[in-house]
Amino acid sequence: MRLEKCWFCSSTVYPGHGIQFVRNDAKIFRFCRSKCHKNFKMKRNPRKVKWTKAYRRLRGKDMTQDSTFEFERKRNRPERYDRSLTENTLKAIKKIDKVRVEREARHHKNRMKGKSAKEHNEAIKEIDQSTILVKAPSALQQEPSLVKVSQPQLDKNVAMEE
Amino acid sequence: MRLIRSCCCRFLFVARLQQQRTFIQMRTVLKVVDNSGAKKVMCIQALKANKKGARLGDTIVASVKEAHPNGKVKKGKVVYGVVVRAAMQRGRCDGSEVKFDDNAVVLVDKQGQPIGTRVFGPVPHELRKKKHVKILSLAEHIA
Amino acid sequence: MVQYNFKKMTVVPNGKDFIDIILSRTQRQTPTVVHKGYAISRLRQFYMRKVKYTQQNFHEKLSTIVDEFPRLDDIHPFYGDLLHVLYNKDHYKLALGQINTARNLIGKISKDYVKLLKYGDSLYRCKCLKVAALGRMCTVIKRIGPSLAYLEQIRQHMARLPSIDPNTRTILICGYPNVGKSSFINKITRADVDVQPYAFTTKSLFVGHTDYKYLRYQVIDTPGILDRPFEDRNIIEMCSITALAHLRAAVLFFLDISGSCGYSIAQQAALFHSIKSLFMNKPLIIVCNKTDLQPLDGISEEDKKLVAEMKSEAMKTVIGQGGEATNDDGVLLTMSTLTEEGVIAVKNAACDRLLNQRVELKMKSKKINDCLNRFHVAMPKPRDNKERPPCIPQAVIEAKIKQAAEKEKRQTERDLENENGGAGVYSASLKKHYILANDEWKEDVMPEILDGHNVYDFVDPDILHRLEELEREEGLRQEEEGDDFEMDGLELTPEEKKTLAAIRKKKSLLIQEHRIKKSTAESRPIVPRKFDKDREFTTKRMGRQLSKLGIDPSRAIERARSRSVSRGRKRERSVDRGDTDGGDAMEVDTPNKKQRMLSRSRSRSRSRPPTEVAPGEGFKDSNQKAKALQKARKSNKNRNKDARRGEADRVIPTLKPKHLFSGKRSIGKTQRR
Repeated sequence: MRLEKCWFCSSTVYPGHGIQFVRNDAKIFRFCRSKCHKNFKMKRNPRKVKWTKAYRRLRGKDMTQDSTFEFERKRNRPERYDRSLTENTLKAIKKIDKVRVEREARHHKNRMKGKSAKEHNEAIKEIDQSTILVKAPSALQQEPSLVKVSQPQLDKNVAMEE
Repeated sequence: MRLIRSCCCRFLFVARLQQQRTFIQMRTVLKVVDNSGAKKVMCIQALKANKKGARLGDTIVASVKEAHPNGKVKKGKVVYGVVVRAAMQRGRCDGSEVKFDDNAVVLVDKQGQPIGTRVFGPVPHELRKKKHVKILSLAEHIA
Repeated sequence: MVQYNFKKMTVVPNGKDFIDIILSRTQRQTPTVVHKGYAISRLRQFYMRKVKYTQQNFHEKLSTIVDEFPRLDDIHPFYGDLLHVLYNKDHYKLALGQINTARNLIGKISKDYVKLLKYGDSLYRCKCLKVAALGRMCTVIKRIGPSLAYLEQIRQHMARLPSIDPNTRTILICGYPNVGKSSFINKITRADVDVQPYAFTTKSLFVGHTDYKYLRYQVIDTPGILDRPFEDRNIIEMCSITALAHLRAAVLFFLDISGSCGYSIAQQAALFHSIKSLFMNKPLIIVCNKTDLQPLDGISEEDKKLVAEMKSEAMKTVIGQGGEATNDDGVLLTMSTLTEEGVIAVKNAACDRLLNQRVELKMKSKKINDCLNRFHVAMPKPRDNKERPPCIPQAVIEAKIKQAAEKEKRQTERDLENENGGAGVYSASLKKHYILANDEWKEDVMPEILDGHNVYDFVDPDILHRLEELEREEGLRQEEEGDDFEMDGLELTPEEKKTLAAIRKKKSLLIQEHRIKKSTAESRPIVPRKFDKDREFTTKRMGRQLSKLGIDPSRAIERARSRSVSRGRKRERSVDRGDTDGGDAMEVDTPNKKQRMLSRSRSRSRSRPPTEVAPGEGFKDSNQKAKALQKARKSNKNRNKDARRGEADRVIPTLKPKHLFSGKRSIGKTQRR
């Protein structure tokens, strides 16, 4: 038994799950669930479907190159069984996983850098431009608490209009 | 009234994206993927299979509809064949499913020995359970 | 060596069949289609071919007959005489001669007609000539019909003759009828000759084979011979005589000393003397048979004398061959085929003497010298008395012993199975023969999957080393990264947040509203806002919105009112009331509550609540009415759910519409027609 990767979404296919399609040139397409299978039947390209791993990798949303990925590789050379080696391997898998998760988190953090500042700017801009939807300008003048941020902006607008 | 309404609903339930794949039954035309000389056969009976028809790995009786001019098998002959590929999915021993591009058979004699000496394209490993080891050993790919 | 096998001669067809065979062959093997329009040379050629072909076939067939039948002068005199005796030489020769003549005649006929055909001038002529030619050929064959029939009979008889080889070692058995010749041959060979207690049971020659000293002997059983002049003898007796005359064989003369065959010893002795000349130069043995009935010693003096006489005659043959006169034990023998007493002795004696005679003859012949000088038998003499056993090295012996021991000791899988409960109970462990660094590991079960990974994919001899490297790398990275937290002090104040939320809510509302409008609009025309189709742009609404925006709406409403066009005549009463109040009812808060109530009640007709009891309805009080109403509603509930019009609506819709479920089907799908 092996854990395979879904052809469409690249998730892990556990034994007993999903369906596999064998093309006449003997290429095997494995799918983790009917969703992926249906998308395949609709001839969708996984690189263009947002929820797939392929899409995320392509757009740099996920880590693509990392030394932790080097450890897991299908080797076609048979290895003679060794208990200590197996023990080490089992322990190593945990450690590698931990490192990988950390790195992924860091990758995510790097990716999200500057996002809050951007959001903040956008919020301020929105307040400036659309306060009139909720408060009339004449009302604003009477209420100085809200004028604090928006006042200079308003002035500018007025100036431009003139 | 309500009943009629439900009927209508059923009528409206149509239009699928792909053809629904189903059993290999009488009048199913299958491709022959060996060098026995036949090109296409038409199923006339599924042997010892489900009542509904044959699936992947089952044996069928078929009549040769197209054949090469000088092969072992001639057009119009009634032959036995093992379904080595089926477009309808079939459960595997671990609960997953497998399906293929087309419906294909390998012609065999009554004893289950293949008539041809080659088998083209992928075949499923389930044939071992059906004791068609010869076909497996001849196959190009095993899926 | 000439083989005499008459079994393989081809069948001789009778005259009619012969003709049929040949003519049908001609018809089949030569072209049949011919037209008048052909060139005359072609026509001639066509018919000449037919004639020639027929002649060829006749020639071939007749030649095979002539060639295959043995020519009496050429074969061994034994066969020659035998055939003469059986079939009469003159007759035989005549028949073959006729066949030969017919062959020549046919050849001549064809030659003539071919010559004539050369001058045939039309298709018809040529055809006539051909018919004539074939007809004449057939007549010739018809004329030799009796000969063909005769030859066919001969062929059949000859095929049944025993295949006697005249040149090999042969033992010939002769004597009076019924003296036990056939019984004897049955005893010593596997020939199954018919034995019956009457004379002339055996009517022809029979052959059996026996072995003595690794050599094969041919034993010939002859029919009995009677003592009478040569000319009077019948065909059956003549067979024996020919065999005696021509085969160089050991002759066993059978003598029935009991006389139970019906002939006395004297008669038998007379026969012996009459055919004595045939025994010359042959080893002769006189066999006294049926000793179980009458021992040799028990016969009368005269008979004894006769026997002795015969014995002396027989001895002559021995002497004649240069043997010693004293050795007389092989000449007169006694036996009983019934009790099998002395049978083997007779056979051995006969074989011995025959062999001796043949060897002597061979030695005398000239050829023997060529053979003899080729023989040499080497007899090496030991050089001394020392033993010289084969030498095997000690190491080899030890190895052999070891190997043998190992072979016994090795435990096979089958032994294991038998020890552990036999087939079906014991299951062989496949892991047993694994080659691993440590034997304890053999039974280990390796996990295949861990945390969503295939363990196999991680197995690598230097995984520890690589892991260490990875951890080091990770450590370095963490160090250099340190704490570069992104400090964003930019936070919105709670008030700002509130405003933002309000803005966003408003925006989304607008969008939603727009979408609803769009979705329900479908294909309706877009009506300008000023027509206010749904009467939604009221002053009330304006007031609400403006106040929400933080503006006092009163002035705006007033302005709108003042500009609105008055609709028709104002109602007197309301005006009056307005007059009394001195202002707009909507705008001015009325201080007097009682007055307001009064005005409302007057302005509006009041509807009755449903539970109120009206006179004449028949209810006791409003409570009872409410209950009744509830009950009524409840009873209607199911009916309404079934979409029935009322109690009387008992329609049962057709469950299976006939047109969808029955009748002959025309074109179309089952579900849709």
